[in-house]
Amino acid sequence: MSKLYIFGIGGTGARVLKSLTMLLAAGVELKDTDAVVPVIIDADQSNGDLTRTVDLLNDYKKLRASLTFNEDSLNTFFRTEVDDMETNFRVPISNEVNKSFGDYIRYNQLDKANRALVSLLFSKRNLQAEMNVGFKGNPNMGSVVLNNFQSDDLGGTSMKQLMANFQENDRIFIISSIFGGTGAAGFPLLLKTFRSAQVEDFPSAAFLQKARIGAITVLPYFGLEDREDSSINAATFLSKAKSALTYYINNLDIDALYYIGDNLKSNYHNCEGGRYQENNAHFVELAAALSVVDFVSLKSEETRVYKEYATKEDADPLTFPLLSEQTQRMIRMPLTQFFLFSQFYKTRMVDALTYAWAKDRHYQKAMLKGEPYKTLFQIFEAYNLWLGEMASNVRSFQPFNLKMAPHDLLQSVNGVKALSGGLLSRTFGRDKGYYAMLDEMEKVAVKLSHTLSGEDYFMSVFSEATRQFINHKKI
Amino acid sequence: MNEFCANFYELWHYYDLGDFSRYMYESGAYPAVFYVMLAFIVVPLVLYYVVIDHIQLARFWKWLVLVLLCSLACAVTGALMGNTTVDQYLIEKNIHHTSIVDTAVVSFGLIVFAWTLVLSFVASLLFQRLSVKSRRIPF
Repeated sequence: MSKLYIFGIGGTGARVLKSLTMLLAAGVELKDTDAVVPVIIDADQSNGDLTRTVDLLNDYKKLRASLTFNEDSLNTFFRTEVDDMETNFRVPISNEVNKSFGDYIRYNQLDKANRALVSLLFSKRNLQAEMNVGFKGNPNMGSVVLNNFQSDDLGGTSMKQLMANFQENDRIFIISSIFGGTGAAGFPLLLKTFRSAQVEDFPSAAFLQKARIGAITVLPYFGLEDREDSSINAATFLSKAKSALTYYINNLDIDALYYIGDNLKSNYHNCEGGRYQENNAHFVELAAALSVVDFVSLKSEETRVYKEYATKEDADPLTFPLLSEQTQRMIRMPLTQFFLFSQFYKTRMVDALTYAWAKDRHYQKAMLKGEPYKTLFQIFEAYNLWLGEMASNVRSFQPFNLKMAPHDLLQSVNGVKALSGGLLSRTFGRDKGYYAMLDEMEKVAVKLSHTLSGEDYFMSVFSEATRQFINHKKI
Repeated sequence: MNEFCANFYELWHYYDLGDFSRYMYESGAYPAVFYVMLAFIVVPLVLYYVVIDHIQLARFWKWLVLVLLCSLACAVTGALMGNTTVDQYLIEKNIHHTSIVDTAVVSFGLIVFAWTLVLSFVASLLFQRLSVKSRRIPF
C-alpha cells in the first residue's frame, strides 16, 4: 500500500480536488492507497475556490480522525485517509507574490538587451500585473514564477519538506487546467521538478525520478463574461490550450495523462481572482476527479497511458443512466448512499434517535451538537451545495431530485421509480422511504459488533443501511 | 392446577370474593380463565415482536395500546367465562340461594385485567430479545 500525492494547481486544480474529496467522503475507493496527500498550488492565497476546498479537506481530515476502519466496521464513508503532512493542504510557490511581475523579474535592473528580450515575451500589462491573485490566465508569467518548486525559501512548508518522506511505492497525480495561468504553467514545471529531482533538493530524489506519475489536464469547459477591465479573456482559452498541447506532445515524461473538456459552456463571472473567484461546481470537475480513481487502478506495467473522458450521450442535463457503465460502477452507489445519508440526517435524525438502533448505544439528541456530528453536518451542507451547483450549471449534472428528496427518500434518484413497500407498509400508510430506511438500519444494527466505538457504529449503520435500501428499493 | 389458579386470582385469599370465589373454585372455572389469559398474552406479543416485528409499531405507546387492549379483552372474556361457568354450576347443583353480588363479576374482571397487564409486561421483556425492530420496547 502506498501514499498518493495529489497536486491541484490553480483554481481548476482546487475545484477538482473538491470533487475528489466529495467522492472520497462518499466512499469511492482508491485502490492500493493507504492515504491521500492533497496539496493545492496557487499564488492566489485568498482564492474563493481554494478556500472552500481547504475548508472541506480540513473537515474531512477532522472527521476521519474519529473513525477506526477495523474488520468489525461496515463503514465505507471517509474510508480513505487524507493527510496534509503539516502543509494545511497548501504549498507556497513564492514568497514574492505580493509584487508585480515586473518587480519579480527585476525588469528595471536588466540591461537594455535583456529588457528588449523580456518585452518581446511579456506585454506591459503582464509586467505591471500584481501576482497576489495568481497569473490571470497568463501561463507565460506562471512558467517563470513557478520554476522554483524545490526552493526552501518560499515561506511555509516547502515542497522539499512535503516530499521528504516520499517512498518507493508512492505515487503522484497532478491536476491542472490547460487554459489558465497557474495550472498550464505549473503542471509541466512540477513534473520536470520531480523527474529531474536531485538529492540536494529532495532526499528521496531517487524515488521521485522513477515515481509513477499521472495527470489530468482540463481543457476549456466554461466561458467568462466579457469585461473590458479584466486581463482574462475567454476567447484565448482555446488558443492557449492548443499551444500547451503542442508542448505536451514531446515534453512530458509521464505514466498516464488524462484529458477532459466540454464544448457546451456557461459563462462565469469574469473575476481575476481573490475571494470572489468562486465558480460553481461543474460535472467536468467531478469527471476529472475520476481520473485519479482510474490512475490508482492501473497496473504497474501500464505506462504512457492516454485517456479521454466521455459520456454515453451528449445530453444536458446528465443523469446516472447517461454516464458510462464504468463511471456508474464507480460513483452511483457511493454518491447515492451519501446523498440519502445527508437527507436523512438533515430531516429525520432527531426522530430516528428514539429507535432501538440508537437506544442500543444510548445516543441522545444533544450529541448531534458535538463532534464529529457537527463536522459531518457541515460536510453534508457542502455536499448538497456542490450537487446543487452542478445541477444548475450548463452541462448540468442532476442525478438526484434535490427538491423531493427531503420529503420522500424514494424519489431521491432522478429517472428511477423505487419499489413501493409491502402489504404491511401499505397497511400502515405510505412512509416515503423513512421507515424503510429505519428498517434497514435496525437490521444492520443488530449484526454490528459491540466493540465498535459510538462513531464507528453510527457510520456503519448508515453506510450499510443506505446500501441495502438502494439495493432493495432498486434506486 | 385449580388450586394454583384459585390462589392466583384470589391473591392468596387477600381478594376473596365470597361465594363467587367459592363456586368458581368448585366448578373448576379458574384454570380455563388462566389458559385464556395466557393466550391473550402470548399470541399478541408473539405477533408483535416476532411475526410482524414492524418498524412502525416499534413505539412505546403503540405497545402500550396493544397491551391495554389485550388486557381489557382478556378481562371481559374471563369475567364472562367465570360468570357463565358459575351460573351453569349453580343450575347443575340445584343451588338457588347464594350471597353472590353483581359487583363480584366486575371485581373478578379487574383482577384478570391487572394480572394480564403485569404478565404482558414481564412477557414483553422476554419476547423483546427475539425481536429486531422492537427490541427496545418497552425499554
